Amino acid sequence: MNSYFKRLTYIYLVLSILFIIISFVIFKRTSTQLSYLRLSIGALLISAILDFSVVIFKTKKLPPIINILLGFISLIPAIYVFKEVFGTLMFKVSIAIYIFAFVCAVIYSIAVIIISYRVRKDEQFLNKLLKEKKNTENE
Amino acid sequence: MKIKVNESKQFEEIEVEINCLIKDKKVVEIINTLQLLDKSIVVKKDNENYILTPKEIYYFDCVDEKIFCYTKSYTYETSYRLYEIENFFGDDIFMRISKNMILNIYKIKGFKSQINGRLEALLLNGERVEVSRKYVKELKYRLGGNKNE
Repeated sequence: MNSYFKRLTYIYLVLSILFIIISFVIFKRTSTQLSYLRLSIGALLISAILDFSVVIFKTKKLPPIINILLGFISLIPAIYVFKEVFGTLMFKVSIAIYIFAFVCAVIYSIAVIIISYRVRKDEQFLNKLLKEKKNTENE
Repeated sequence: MKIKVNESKQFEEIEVEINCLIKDKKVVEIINTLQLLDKSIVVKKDNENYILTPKEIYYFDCVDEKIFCYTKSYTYETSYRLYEIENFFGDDIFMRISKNMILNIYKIKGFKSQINGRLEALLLNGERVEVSRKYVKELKYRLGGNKNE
């Protein structure tokens, strides 16, 4: 539970900074001021969804492929919350949300590939070390 | 490494003498392993007490604040805490692989990674235990790798 809140705080901090930057860009371009409360609640909700997605992704009770799929499915509400926060200011055409969802899917896939590549590298290195250790013991 | 066994009635107890050029990492490992043979832990199963040596133990696991000791085919319960077990056996045979598990590194058969970033250690008895990312660096070092790798 403690790690859940720690991660939530970290994601919320990063998202708040990101939302401030986005709202600043919107203000510069359209002179529209977004409500601070709306941004804060939106960032908090998205943080909670992202954190929940990480929990699902890391759970040990499911097969790894299901973890990955459920991890992405649980991210989908975050896309809608993002749309609700910035509305037509960012999603002018209806297809924009699908493009945004596609970008999220690509980022998610890249993250999964990087994670699995890193752990695969560790696996190979550990197996090599283990083999060397066993060879030394047998000598 | 040559091993000589001298049987004689003049020896009251087992004596081990190591002759080497220099006391290197391998010699220290031999000394630690020999010292560990003298250590044993009391465990419980079906209200009966058993004494286990590190050689028999595969891993210790903490489930609902209870510590279980796993051998090739049996599970025992122990009253020790995980940190006590770590301190008692030192870090030559056993090592922490997650928040609630201590593994005998001599019982590892291999490692297997999963697509979602999970790393598992395959044990000699066919069991699989998860290695937390936090302890991978230490595990590499314990298996003879460099600390910075």
